[in-house]
Amino acid sequence: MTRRSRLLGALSAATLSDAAKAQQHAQSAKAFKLLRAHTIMGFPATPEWGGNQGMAGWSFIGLEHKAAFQPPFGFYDGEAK
Amino acid sequence: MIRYKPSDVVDFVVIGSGAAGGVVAKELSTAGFSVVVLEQGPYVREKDFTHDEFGVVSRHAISNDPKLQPGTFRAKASEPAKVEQRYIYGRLVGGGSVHFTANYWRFHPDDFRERSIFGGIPGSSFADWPVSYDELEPYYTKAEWDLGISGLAGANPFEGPRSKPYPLPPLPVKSSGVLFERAAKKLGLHPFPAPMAVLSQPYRGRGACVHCGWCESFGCEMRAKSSTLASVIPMAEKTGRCEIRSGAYVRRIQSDDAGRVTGAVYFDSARREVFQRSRAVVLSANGVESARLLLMSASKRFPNGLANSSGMVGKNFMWDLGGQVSGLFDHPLNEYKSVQVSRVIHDYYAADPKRGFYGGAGIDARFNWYPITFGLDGLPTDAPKWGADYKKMLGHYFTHTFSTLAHVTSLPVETNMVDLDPSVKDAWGLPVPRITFQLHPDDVKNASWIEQRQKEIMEAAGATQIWSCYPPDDLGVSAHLMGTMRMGNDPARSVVNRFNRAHDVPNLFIVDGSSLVTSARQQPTATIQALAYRAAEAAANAAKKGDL
Repeated sequence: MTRRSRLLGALSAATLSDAAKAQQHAQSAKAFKLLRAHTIMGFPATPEWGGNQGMAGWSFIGLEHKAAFQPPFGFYDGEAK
Repeated sequence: MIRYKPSDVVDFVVIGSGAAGGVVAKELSTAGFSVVVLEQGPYVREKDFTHDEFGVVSRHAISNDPKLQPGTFRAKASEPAKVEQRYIYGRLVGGGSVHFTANYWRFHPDDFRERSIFGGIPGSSFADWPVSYDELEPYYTKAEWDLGISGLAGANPFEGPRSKPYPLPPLPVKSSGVLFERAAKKLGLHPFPAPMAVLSQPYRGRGACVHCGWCESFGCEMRAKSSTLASVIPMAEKTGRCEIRSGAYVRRIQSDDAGRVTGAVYFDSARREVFQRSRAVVLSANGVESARLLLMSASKRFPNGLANSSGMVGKNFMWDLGGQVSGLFDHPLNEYKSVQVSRVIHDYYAADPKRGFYGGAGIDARFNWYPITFGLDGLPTDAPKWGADYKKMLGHYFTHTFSTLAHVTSLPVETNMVDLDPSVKDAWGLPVPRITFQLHPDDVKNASWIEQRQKEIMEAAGATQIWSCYPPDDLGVSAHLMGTMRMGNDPARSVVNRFNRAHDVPNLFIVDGSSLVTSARQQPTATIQALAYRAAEAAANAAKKGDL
């Protein structure tokens, strides 16, 4: 999709007035922002929402999906014990 | 649970079941009074709480939904207000006490007399409180023991005297706490274990925290977070005198020609109007909603809104102001586990005139990001926003980052206010709250000064990269709704008296964040609840003497 928005940008440069170009740029920036937000939301949202298949999003960021943990939680609190 | 009929004249109607309303309901019902609590949100049981970030954080499962209940915002009265979500509250039985971070700081003795200590501030309605820390201390203690607070008495050298230690020891320190504590000590500061409204050990039939990590913004399925839902509301119900009526969205507090309140009119879940009669009303709907409700309850006797002869209803709204400085570390911290906060400093809490401005902060070490919010906004501001480099950073930073959050002062300013929007309506056809808010110049100076202190701490902690996310460029969404019905001795300058009783209406108490005179250093829940215990005692005593 990012290649597509760049392509749209190139097309607009060839055919539109400056004001229209500025407007289109703002709209595509807004659309991109929304697209980015939705993509990021889908990636680590609970799998019930349809993304994060096999908890791939959580595994990628290093989140171990468990209902309970015991200390030490990380390196530094482990080291301090 | 007992069910009252709307035609029954109960002793008290309590509007809102959150941090304050839950406490008041328990205190009044155990003192022998009949109580109906009207809560607009649903009665969600612990087994129904989830770890679903998209549902809870993005889609407002347990908080106010701006699609149904929008609000409007403007910086100045001369500007048109736009529909923007600027405030959040818990919309379920237990209110914000269900989803809060659970930081449970007592205000300092000087918070209550800071105007006298520091002096007046141009452009601010800064004032002393009509109560002192010493008067409030027994009620802080009562709250800590009734609700279940974990902490270490005496560890915060800046705290006022306390009559009892915490009922429970502190929660385990996290990697953020270890790094923060080392850094703070290196700088000569005084870190202490965070006082938290989360059980470190089983307490009064409730289980201890299992460190799942889904704490701030979420409801606790273990009943380990000491919300009013988990702690005092079951006690209230057990008396057989208190009904928690959920799905009851109050639209008006009714008053008579004698200037007394007679009950509350609400929409039930089928949107039918119901009038619940009562001898007295306690309004605990939060600093925005309580102000809105008083303004919506205008009558012939109270043309400017109920309890508003002073014109001060809605004025002096204070913002939930805070700024975050984050750092990256070499080894994994796994901050997504356990409660958000484990260490705090109050070294910069007191205001110092030598700095050239008023202000101060409490700073905690925390990680209040979840996978989605971190993916959206957690990385350094100059990091790539998409693509392979973004993804690579996300994979590394989520487990290797912690933040310090400074909870900073928000000065009371009379023109910062909540009133009724003249045109925008909610899904029930009621006028929505309009917020007018601008930071006082000292708030801005203080925030930038504190940001530098946070950076020093992150440097001393050995962060390999440091970045900040700070107002005033973006005020964000306020969760601490303070100051709109200020407490005071002068009925011309305040809305409630020193026992949270409305100056104008003898049988109306207003008990929530609205009565706070100053913002202290945020984290208002302990003080709201201490005031709630005190106000409930005053209401019960007045009722018993026939003086209500």
